[in-house]
Amino acid sequence: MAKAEHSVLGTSIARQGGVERVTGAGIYGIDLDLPNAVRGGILRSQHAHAKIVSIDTSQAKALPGVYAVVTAADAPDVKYGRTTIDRYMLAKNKVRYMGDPVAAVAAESQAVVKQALKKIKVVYEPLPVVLDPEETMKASAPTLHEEVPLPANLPKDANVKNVCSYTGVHAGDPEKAMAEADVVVEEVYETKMIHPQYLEPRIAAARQEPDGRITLWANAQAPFGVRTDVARLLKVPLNKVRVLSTELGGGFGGKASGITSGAAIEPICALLAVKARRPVMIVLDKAEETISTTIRSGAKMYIKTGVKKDGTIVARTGKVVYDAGAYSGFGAMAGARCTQMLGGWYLTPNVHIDGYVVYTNKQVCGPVRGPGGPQAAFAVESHMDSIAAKLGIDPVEFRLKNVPKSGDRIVGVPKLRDISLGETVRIAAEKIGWGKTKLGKNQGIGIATGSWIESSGPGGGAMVKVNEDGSATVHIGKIDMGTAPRFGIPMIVAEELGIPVNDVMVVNVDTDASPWDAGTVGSRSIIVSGTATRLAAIDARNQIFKLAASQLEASPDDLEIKDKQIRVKGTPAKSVPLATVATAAHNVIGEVVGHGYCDSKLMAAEEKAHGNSPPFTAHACIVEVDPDTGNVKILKYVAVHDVGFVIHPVAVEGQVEGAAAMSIGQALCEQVVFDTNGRTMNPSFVDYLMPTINMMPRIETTLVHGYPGAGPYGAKGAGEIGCVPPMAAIANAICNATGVRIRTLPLSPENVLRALRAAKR
Amino acid sequence: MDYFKPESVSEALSLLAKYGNEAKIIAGGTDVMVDIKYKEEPGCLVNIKRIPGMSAIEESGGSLRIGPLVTIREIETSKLVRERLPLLWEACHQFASLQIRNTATIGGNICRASPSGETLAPLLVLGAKAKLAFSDGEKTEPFNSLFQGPGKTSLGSKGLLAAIEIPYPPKGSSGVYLKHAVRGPMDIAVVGIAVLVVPDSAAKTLQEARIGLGAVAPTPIRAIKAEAMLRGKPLDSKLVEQAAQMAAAESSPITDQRGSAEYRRWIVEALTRRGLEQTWKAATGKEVA
Repeated sequence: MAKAEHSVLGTSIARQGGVERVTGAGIYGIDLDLPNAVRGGILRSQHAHAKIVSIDTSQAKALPGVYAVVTAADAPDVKYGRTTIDRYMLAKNKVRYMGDPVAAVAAESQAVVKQALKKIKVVYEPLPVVLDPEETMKASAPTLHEEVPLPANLPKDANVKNVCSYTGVHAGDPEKAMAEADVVVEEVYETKMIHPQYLEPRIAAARQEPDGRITLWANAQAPFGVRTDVARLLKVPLNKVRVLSTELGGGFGGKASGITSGAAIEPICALLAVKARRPVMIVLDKAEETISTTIRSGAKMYIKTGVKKDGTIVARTGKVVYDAGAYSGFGAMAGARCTQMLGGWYLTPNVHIDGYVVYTNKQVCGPVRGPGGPQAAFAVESHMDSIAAKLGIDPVEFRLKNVPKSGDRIVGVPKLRDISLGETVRIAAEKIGWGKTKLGKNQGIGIATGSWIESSGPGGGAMVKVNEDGSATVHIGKIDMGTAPRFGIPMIVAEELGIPVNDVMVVNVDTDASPWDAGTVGSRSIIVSGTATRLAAIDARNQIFKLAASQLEASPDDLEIKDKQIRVKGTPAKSVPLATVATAAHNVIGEVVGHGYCDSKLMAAEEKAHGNSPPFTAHACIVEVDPDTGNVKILKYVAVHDVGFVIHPVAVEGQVEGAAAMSIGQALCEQVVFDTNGRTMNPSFVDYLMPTINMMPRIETTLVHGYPGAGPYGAKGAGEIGCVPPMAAIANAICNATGVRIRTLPLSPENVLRALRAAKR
Repeated sequence: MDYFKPESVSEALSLLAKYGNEAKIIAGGTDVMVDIKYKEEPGCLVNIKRIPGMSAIEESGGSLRIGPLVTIREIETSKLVRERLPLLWEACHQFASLQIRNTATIGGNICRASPSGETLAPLLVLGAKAKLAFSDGEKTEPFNSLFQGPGKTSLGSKGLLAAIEIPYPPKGSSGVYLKHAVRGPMDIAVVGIAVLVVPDSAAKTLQEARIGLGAVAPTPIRAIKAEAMLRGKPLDSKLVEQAAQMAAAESSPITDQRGSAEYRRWIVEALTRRGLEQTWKAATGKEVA
């Protein structure tokens, strides 16, 4: 289909920059080598909740080789935060989690940094620590943020404290519908904190230029967000801060929320550079990363559903208690998304869900790949199987029965357009052999679905500069992390300009030169930068046609561009090389620069008028459970996805596999473990169990077609949705194998065996 | 931090005598380097990798002598080990990643004395002996008295492991190493169990059963009471069950982020049962009745 209409789109060209990554060329932030740079390091709180009585840095400052020691007293009295401004870059008065930055050092070597950090004397007055969000909400709990008021929209009878934000979802008359339901199923689900654990360590490097400006290098997914907060916290204008994005070795949302993600490593580094009068580079080690940076929050989810005997869902009520961690971070947004998704993506006319995002003395919530979605889907899709079991209906049939149709509304989407949910379920069932595969002893089969946001969010721009040799240089605001900038973006430019993909170069983000962007988040690279780039390339092409028209003695409308030649349609002999036109532009407009924008308001208006076609997915698997050890082995795994028009099939499959692997890890083994004082027990890769390839099944991906999205050519974002269904798919398969429903993650050998033994009793 | 590269055992021993607890011996470095990064730096490092004569696998009479600097990978790829000591081979085969196996030494695994050390329960069960070098001479220490606690051996701070002697298991015996870890070889064992059974010539009764337990006590241990229950008895599923329960009772695991004490006992029971069934079948060709 794609190949007939397009020359480049729909093919799986080699990823630009792939070879450098595989061969280990020095391309990442950590490889940065600034002249005269010194190293920086951060002193982190050893208490999860305490008052800071005093900080004495005199011994550290006296140490030979130390260039600067900074505390909150050295920085302007300015706080930061995404939704609630509740945090200093270096803790002032109080620390709220073990990992909170308290002071920082710049010194000639990493060894001296380490020694100096040890010589900083901080006197703490420990305060009671709260780790469980439900405990924190109680009146008896200590107050974590004295200066933060409760959210204005809290229900009047809520009687809670330490709530960072509240989301209420309401539709129809759930109380009445629940009372009239034939069957009501009520359950409680819980997921634990995981860390996104990108392999590349987080870095920041800062240099104050002779004119006073600050240049910052960061492996951040949102360089403009970093610039905003660094400028605010150091009280300098935005144009005095330049953020250069280094190559990113994985982020998964863990580097996506401005300076919140790295607990202010960037402004701390900048402050050190200013005080030290030397460039400073900070590299976090893995354990420091795990205890201090943003995570995927744990969520406790109360879910209740009323159904008719025939399997029609009539009502859903529930409550989400979402762990924000020590500061607001991305908690309000992720918790709101989790609350909405607990309403499900099936036709459910009556809904009421309360979502509380709550402060605790733990790491801060970030926008980790599909923030809030995987947690909600674990509850919703496990719950769907529980309802089906109670009704005696096949889980696949039960899901198909409740698929919405065009024009319907679901929670978060007022009007649906094309709905791929049913087709993904049918294909997944067929591929896994639902009802046909003969299962062996201790084996079980499970299915789960998912959805994700299709659009919504800030807009963004693109610039396509056509050089005099006909090659193109592209500026967008999204960074590359295995996503669109080196797959879809160059392909779109090549398609629209009629030049080879390798003649397109997408520049990494430089906030001085690149168009503003909210960050590489929310599966939005192809929607925002893809849309903007397409329009920018078309704009550039129009300028080229206008310049070429007189030379070819034809109307610009009669021209086409192919293989770097501008030709008169129908008269291929009449042509001029793109390079000639681009060079001639020097004497006319200087340079062909195409501009394009993704206009979010326009996109929203389109959706309001014609409806929204969110991506849907269904995953299914077969597992084998060892009844002696509780070990779960995945024998077969299929993932069926609708991502609209597929620009680069292999890139999409890569995103699906990576996302599924991430949630399989959360399902089977991953978890940040705490002791009662709030200390992370498994900060390093020795103890924090990421799955290895040996635990991974082959993920068989199928992409369905025919459900165009809001992105360029009908594409939809594909980076996050693969994280949504796996946990429930595996839990459902375990339940099918053993008859035991496990409602708390991870489905680790110990938790599974414990559940099996409890069920026997 | 000082760094020394002694070229003989006596040179190494004099460094240890001089620096005592301040000195840290390094060979493969897979544990020591991580400790330096995350824990305290030692006063000095004594790199023993250059000392000659400690890197060979040799047959001597009815036993195998392995130098402490032999890497796990060398053991894993040794034909001699594979043929004569398949139990040790199995433990080395399930030992972390290939990269780590290429670097880590058996001496390091032993001297680290981690309760979960992969080769320790098998060596205990095989009746291995350690040759320990001190400044006043060599001493032979059986493995069941070598380990004194997590990270502690009878070498103390002044001794050097000179060789490991492993007698060949009796004819007709069969051994197995079963490791339970969430991530398999790429993970520290939650429980590691080595089982060696010696049936009588008629394949009717158990002449001897040896059970080694890893990661479930302050040191790797033998499940002596379970072994005694099995000795001289015909093996049936009821006896297997009783011995497995006894082994679990003999363990004294801790609770940590890898698993609770209770769970570890469940696994000791399950793997002991599995180990006895598997080795009995391998040795006799018969299922446990």
